[in-house]
Amino acid sequence: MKRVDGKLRRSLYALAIASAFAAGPAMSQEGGAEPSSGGGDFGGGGDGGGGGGFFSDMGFAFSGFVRFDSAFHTDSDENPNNQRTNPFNGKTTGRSAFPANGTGALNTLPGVGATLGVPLVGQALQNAVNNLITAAPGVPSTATRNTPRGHNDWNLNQLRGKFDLGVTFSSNVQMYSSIRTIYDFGNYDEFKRSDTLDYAGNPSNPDGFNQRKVRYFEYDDYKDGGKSCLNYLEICGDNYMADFTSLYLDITAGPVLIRAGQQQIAWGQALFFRIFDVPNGLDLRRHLILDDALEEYADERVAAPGVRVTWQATDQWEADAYAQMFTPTIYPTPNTPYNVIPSQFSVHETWSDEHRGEDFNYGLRLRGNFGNWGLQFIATQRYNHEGTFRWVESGVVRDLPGLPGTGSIMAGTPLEADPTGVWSANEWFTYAGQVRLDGVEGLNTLVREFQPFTGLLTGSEVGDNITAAARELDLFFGVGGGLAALNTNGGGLRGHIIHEYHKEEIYGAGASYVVEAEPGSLLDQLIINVETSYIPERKFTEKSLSRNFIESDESVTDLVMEKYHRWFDDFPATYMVFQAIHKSDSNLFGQHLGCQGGTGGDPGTEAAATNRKTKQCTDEKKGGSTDVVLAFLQPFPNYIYRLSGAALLDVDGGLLVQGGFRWSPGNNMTFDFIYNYIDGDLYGDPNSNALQNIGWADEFVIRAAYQF
Amino acid sequence: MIITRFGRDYTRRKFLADASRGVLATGVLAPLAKTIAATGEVSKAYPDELLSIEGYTKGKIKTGDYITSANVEHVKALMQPITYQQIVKQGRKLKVVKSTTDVMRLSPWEYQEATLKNAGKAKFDEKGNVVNAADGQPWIGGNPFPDPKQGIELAAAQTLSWGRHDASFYAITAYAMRADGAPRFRYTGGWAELSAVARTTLDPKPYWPEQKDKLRFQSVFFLSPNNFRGTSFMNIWYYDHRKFPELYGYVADFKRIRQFPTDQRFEPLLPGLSLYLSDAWGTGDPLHTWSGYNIVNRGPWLCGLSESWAADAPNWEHTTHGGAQGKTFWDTNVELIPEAIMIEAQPTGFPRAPVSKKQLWFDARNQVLVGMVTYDRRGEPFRCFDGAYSLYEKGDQKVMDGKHPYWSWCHFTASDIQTGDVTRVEQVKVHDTQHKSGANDPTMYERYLTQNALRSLGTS
Repeated sequence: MKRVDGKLRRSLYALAIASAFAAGPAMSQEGGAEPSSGGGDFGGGGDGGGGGGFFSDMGFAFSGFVRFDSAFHTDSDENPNNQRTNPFNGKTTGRSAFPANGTGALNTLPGVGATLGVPLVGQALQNAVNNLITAAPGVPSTATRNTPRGHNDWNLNQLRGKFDLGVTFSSNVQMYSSIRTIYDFGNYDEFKRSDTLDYAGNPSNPDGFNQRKVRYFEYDDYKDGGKSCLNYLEICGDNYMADFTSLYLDITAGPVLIRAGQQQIAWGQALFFRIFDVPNGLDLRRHLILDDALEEYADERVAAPGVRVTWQATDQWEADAYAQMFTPTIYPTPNTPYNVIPSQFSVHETWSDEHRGEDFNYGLRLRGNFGNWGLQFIATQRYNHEGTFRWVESGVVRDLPGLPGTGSIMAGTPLEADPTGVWSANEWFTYAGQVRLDGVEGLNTLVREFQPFTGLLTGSEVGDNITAAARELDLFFGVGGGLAALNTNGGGLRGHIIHEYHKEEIYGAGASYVVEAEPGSLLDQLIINVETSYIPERKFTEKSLSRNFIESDESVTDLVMEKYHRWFDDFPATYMVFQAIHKSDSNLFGQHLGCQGGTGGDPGTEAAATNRKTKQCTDEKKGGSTDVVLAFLQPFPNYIYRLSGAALLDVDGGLLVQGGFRWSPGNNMTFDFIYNYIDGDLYGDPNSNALQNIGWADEFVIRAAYQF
Repeated sequence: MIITRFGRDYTRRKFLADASRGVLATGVLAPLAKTIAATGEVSKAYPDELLSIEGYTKGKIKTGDYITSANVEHVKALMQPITYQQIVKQGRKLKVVKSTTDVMRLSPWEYQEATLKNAGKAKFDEKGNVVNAADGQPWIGGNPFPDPKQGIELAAAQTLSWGRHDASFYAITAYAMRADGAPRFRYTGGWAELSAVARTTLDPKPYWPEQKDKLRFQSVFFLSPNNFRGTSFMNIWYYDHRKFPELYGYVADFKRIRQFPTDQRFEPLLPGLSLYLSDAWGTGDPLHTWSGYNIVNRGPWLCGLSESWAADAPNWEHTTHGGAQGKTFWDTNVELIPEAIMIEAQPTGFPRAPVSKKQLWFDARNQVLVGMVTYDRRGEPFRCFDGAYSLYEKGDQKVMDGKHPYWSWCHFTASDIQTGDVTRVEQVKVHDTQHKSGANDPTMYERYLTQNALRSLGTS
């Protein structure tokens, strides 16, 4: 368990003290006060009650809910990003054949050995490989990841609570806090080190706090977990977390509202598409983005300490400014059900060391309402919450099997020998395509940017020769799996990448219009909203994970049309929304479009069953990305039942459909039934649409909540 | 035995004769408005049989008695059919209290003063809006038509001022009861309304100059249960009653304020509640989005107009009875209203409304709304509303509104005639310590009626 740091802990104590202090007066007002006798007067204003004074209205309100969330996995697709559900587990995968012409042939392998003869270790490696080749010239090598294949019936089983406390000091000064607690029962096919064995039969030993054991919520320093949890005001353990989603003071002074403390900030009229909703990142650890679409990012939007000032300047115009401590988007942790980063890679998180407690995001919004018209303008300077990834030195001093002394060299590369890593070029290219990276350039960059260490390991660039890249990669992975120790079928090199954040500025403008047409017609009261933003010099992850990030000017535009329409006499109106978003440089999840469509495969080997196609990513996609949403909400009479549906189409061939049904039987109970269907291969290149990233997450969700 | 100068038949003939001539002349023995202006009370305008329950029932029901299934037949004509059915079949009962004759006890003092002061000064302009006849400006306060001649004058006055205060805040608790008598939902929240024109108490008056094109600002928000906490809606009404209000809402999940289409005024606000925005005060929509407003009936009526404040309850909670669990109906005090006027209107601005018409009952003495029934699109009775007002004084206990005791509604009941569900709503003293019922609080606008206010209320 980790704890909040001292300063924040003091804040929590302050809250507790304030709550206790508030309890007495509150009870006396709500529970025991007699009506005014002989002339009590509440007509004098918000501070009323006749008493006056700062604490005259002091009291508290407490509410919350307890909810159990379950998500049943409804198809056979498994999350490929986890060790237990890597599609290569248990599958014999071809690797490049050893050269048939015997000793010394290593130098003839395209892409390998360009630096041979120079490095000491390279010579040792060459000798070892030559011995193998001598023993079995021309024999194809194969690799079979030895991690037992998992099959999960459940994606989610979490018990959560929400505990809200409002403390009123006066009508102008209030404090709100909301604590979220989560316990994950963890009844999935969890990864254990002993699931994956090295060439000698020993349990795997991946470097990295979260790689060695499944930890659903702990996420900070990759090495040891760090001294705190990622969010401000959060405590977390392997299976639980608790955090303040709100802990702020509201001060109202005439037309000005000052909100200071831990808070979420949401801007814009568009739902789900985050054009103006830029102040906060998303915490994706619990259920990714697969909650009820109508809740938008209620559970995901990351709260952070900050100050927000909203000023109703005139009847029409409102100014809204904030300064908030930067907190990044939090991705699901490795080997958890919704993990989106392949677990063959260790992510070195930089937020805590480089940004925590130091860096702020700022923003200003102007919003005007003019009857049927509305206008919005935003300008923000922020650290992009999603950040970028690039190769980084692993720092792991561990010898390659059979090659003593190589540990210090490996530490200078982004590689680490461990069977939880990549076993074959086939696997490498498959995952490169999946995460929209260039497998060939990825190798070149790895070699080029980590000299002399990669050179000492015989690494060399291969240009755009995919065959050469495959052979070099297969050799590396074989060596990582014990090739030098005469294990020809082993594998495993882990990659190390670093997660960094960059400043950017966002400028946006939006307009809305409420259509007035024939009463009751489809067009009447249709709300049309357009928002567009421009982000100059936005940094993206480079397709080879180079330290030379992609930098480009991105524009994002969306169109939203909302309408309530009563179709049936006996049913309340149906809420319908159409949304379309166009991003010039990235997809819905922020991945740059410069490397779409790679489909894996290893042209130097026999095709593997998991990869029938072989293609590298295409050039930068022209025309940007476009996604379209259609959604509806249909309450039943008296609102006891509610039917909802949403479809998100990535026009490049991905589809997410969600159907939802809510039952509110009363007695403070609510039941939700949600079905998520995702097809990441509707048409076209599957790796060209953003939804392919989560195509494995078909599920049926049940939520049962009790509110108090 | 009570001897009456004018018997029941005389009264009925008078009401029927007026109706047949298309004439609305309130009062039976004398013109009501003139009587009120001259005496401040109504006794001289009505015969004895309309001034007490004893007189009306010839002593069969007395002040202090309960109307139950045993005696409801004597007053069946004084209530809506669904109320009668609830008394007969579900154990509902009504306690009869003394009829109020002092009109100053039937409305906020300042409102009634302004009504008397400004009598005869109002007219409809060419747009159909109520204006001060002298200068064509918006109305200047009080009831513009205290001596109504047409149904639309009753509806216009009601639409102009709902709670009859310049600003009102009601801490509310709502209960959704199932037909079988089981409680299903309990909601708490607040309702705020503030007039931009026709102000009698709050400065600036009679108009808020910068907002003279507005009629009112109104918001409703919810505090519990937790999944609705912070959810709120705000209507900004134009003075021009042909225009729909602007509607904004804070949806707690979205963490922000969004604009909503304003014509969706017939949707349940929360699960289980038989309440629409359109139902508010019987005139929840702009005046000219409905039409008709024909007077269809007149006669005595029963309604709660006094002794309804639950002064002895810590938070003004009212007690209940009836239904299978004794929780379906408010304990209600009613009194005989000598003359109520029923008008009927149709929703012309809402082609897809689930309601085909509504019938509204107004107390002829002060034109306060005393009942409503809506009909579905097939013409079948749909939902029925009854409630209770009161001065907030009981013995030596008082809640003051400036120099005078607070007058407001205390509770109301919305009955879904077709399903048997009942929604009970009461005005309580306070919720969450800070949200206190009251009137004419000058800070109300910034606390409840701006987008900043919604944002502040939107806790999460």
